[in-house]
Amino acid sequence: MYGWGGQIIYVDLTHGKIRKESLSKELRENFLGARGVNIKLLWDLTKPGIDPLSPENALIFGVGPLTGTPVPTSGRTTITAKSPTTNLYVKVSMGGAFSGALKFAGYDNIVFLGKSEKPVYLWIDDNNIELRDAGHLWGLNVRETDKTLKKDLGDNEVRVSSIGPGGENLVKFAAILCSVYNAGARSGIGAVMGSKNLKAIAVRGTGAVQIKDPERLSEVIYPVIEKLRVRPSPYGTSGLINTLNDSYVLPVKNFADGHLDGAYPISGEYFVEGGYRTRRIGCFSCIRGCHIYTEVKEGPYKCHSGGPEYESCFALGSSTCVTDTEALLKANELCNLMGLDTISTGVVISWAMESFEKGVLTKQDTDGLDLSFGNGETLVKLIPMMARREGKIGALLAEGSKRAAEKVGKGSWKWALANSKGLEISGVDTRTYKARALTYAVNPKGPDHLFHQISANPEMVMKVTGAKDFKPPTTANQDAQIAVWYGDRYAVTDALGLCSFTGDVIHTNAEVMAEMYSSVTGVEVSANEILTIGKRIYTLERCYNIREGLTRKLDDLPPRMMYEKTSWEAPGRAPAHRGWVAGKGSINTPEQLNEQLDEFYNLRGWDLKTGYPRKETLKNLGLADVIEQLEKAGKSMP
Amino acid sequence: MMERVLSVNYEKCCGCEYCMLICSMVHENTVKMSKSRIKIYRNEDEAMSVPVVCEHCIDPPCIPACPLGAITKSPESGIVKVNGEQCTGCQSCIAACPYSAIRIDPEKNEVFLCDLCGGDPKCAKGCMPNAIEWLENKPSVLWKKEVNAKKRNIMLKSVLEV
Repeated sequence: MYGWGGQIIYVDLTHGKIRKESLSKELRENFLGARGVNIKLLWDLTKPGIDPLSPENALIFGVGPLTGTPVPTSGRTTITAKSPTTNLYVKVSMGGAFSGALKFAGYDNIVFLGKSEKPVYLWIDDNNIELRDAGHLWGLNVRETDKTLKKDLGDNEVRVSSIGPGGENLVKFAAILCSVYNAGARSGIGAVMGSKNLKAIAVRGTGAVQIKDPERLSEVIYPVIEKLRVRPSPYGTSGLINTLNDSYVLPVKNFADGHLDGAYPISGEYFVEGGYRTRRIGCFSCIRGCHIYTEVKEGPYKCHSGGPEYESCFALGSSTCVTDTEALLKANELCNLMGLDTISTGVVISWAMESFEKGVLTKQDTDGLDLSFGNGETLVKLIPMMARREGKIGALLAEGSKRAAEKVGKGSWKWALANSKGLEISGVDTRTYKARALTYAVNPKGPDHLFHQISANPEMVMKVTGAKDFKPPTTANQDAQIAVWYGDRYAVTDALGLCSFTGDVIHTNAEVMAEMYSSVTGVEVSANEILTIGKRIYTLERCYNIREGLTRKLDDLPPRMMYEKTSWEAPGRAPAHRGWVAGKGSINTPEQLNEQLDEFYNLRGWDLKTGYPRKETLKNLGLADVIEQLEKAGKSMP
Repeated sequence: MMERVLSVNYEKCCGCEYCMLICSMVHENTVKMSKSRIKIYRNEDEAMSVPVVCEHCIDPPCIPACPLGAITKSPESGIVKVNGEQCTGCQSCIAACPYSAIRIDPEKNEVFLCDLCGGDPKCAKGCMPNAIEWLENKPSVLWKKEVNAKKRNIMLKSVLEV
């Protein structure tokens, strides 16, 4: 077979049984791979309404048909499950080198069902697959787990994906990591792995990936390499901090503000100037190598780790007002070692800090810790406590913002930065980037930056929307068209195993993606056809959420975004220079958001009242069987 | 001599292994890491990656090490070649190579070497961090190439020890 490995591994953890099944032509050609095949498997293998932390949930790993070929950035692993945080769909995209090993071992997907009685890890040695005792690994952090497994298996080239104490203790924002520092995070995917008593997966893959037409593929990839080559970035995504801070749109102080004086030490520029950022790390097959490796060589915060990326810098840094470089780098390392999502970790700590400032949480609730904004020492102390649910404060915060605010009460939901779905927001102030408001509201996993993009590129926006004038992303105009346009391309990118950080060179270039797919697999598709597959994947994800109870009401934003202005809009704080965002800040009123949603639903062919895809939409995408199953689950389909 | 030389600086390598993927595809029409002429050795915890490939030495120690005389160096191009038909897979050359750059094809049981893609090395073409470069053959470049090769050798030992 060309492109795909051709096999799915099914692991029944309850009975310790492993079987392999071939990846059917129907799955391959209708859902491509990775994110696409994963959602179809999740839809088919899980019953509606299950408890995400019960043995009935499925945890699915997937790589794409382009993984293991010389297509740049084709090394992403998608992990899919029902989320314990939102009780809805979650997929995460993980970098690192796990993908290549799995593909070269001959597999596209691994499906875990059931729950092991004791901690285990899965050992995939090409054709031989077995579950092994992980008693000695339980409790170890991600780095120790990786080292121990490589030593036990006697091979430094084994690639490991594992959870840390966060996943073991079912923390609602636990992550799964591979290659030590590459996280598949958000929405508690690591807790699903922990609930199954599955500590790790170790893979040695020495097989081959076949390419249908290497010459044809070469014709596409060499120009792509040349185009990617002009965008080196020494800071990685952490280079965004200063730009956003200067424009007053950086999430600061639990999103109450848009600017933090003295935030320079938590920016990519400073990591380089201060000698902290020592090298770059490339994910498997990614020549861009945008991930940074940072070190603190001595002192109380001695550490080394991958990142922090922009999202980690904002969440653990500007949102908590911690501007101590070394404390931030240590906090980032701890999240990676403990297996926690840096975004949610930082945002939930910011909530706790604001609660502390407002007197809603006192030292009695925080085990004596001083939770003042800007306290780096507390930040570093809290992370392992949260991962292990230690003390009152560790146990409280481990439940995530939404549940913690419900427990504490006293109106603290107002400053909990999670929306109705229950996930903590990632690092965009949607009040300023109004086009982002829509994409955060409709994202199936909660207010997160992946799944859609917005664009400040006038040429591109006008081309996509057909409009003669350009409205920047600070307005809500034209955003629905852009969101649909990006949404389909994201689905294709993820399903092929590619990275979405390649802009119009690969990620949004359906022609290039279709040509790469056809040259590798021999399945001829046009750009339009591959985008239809993207639409199908996107829509099935929506249907999964509907089956689990999603309604239009859950497509919203955190309360602070909808009801509070940022403090820099107060008189006297108007900055001298704010670039193109000047004077555009305000709130995402529910009325405005509703207008955005109407437009988006219409473009997607979804019913305005319920937010359900119309029967006709589903039929056109080849998802007719989904209608029947949703009706069986008691949904009246429009 | 070739107009250009392949220069490898491990300090710039991000460890993505793209060079291995493209090398295998170009030479074997399929992608298999063990078939790549170049190999990246990695310490994932410290994000340390060391690319290892034939240096096409001026006086290659692998040539006298081969009991069958299967390894030759072209006086015109300077490229070191293995004659696969003569190779018995005894691995004497692997032991003699100071850079651990000679690999053995487990299926054919014969060793293979980088052939510089006949003068257009695809690994250098695909290496965006410029850890692998195809540079003009001149004394300053050759000096740097040798220094880098030695430094790389030391780092390789420490990566393999992990």
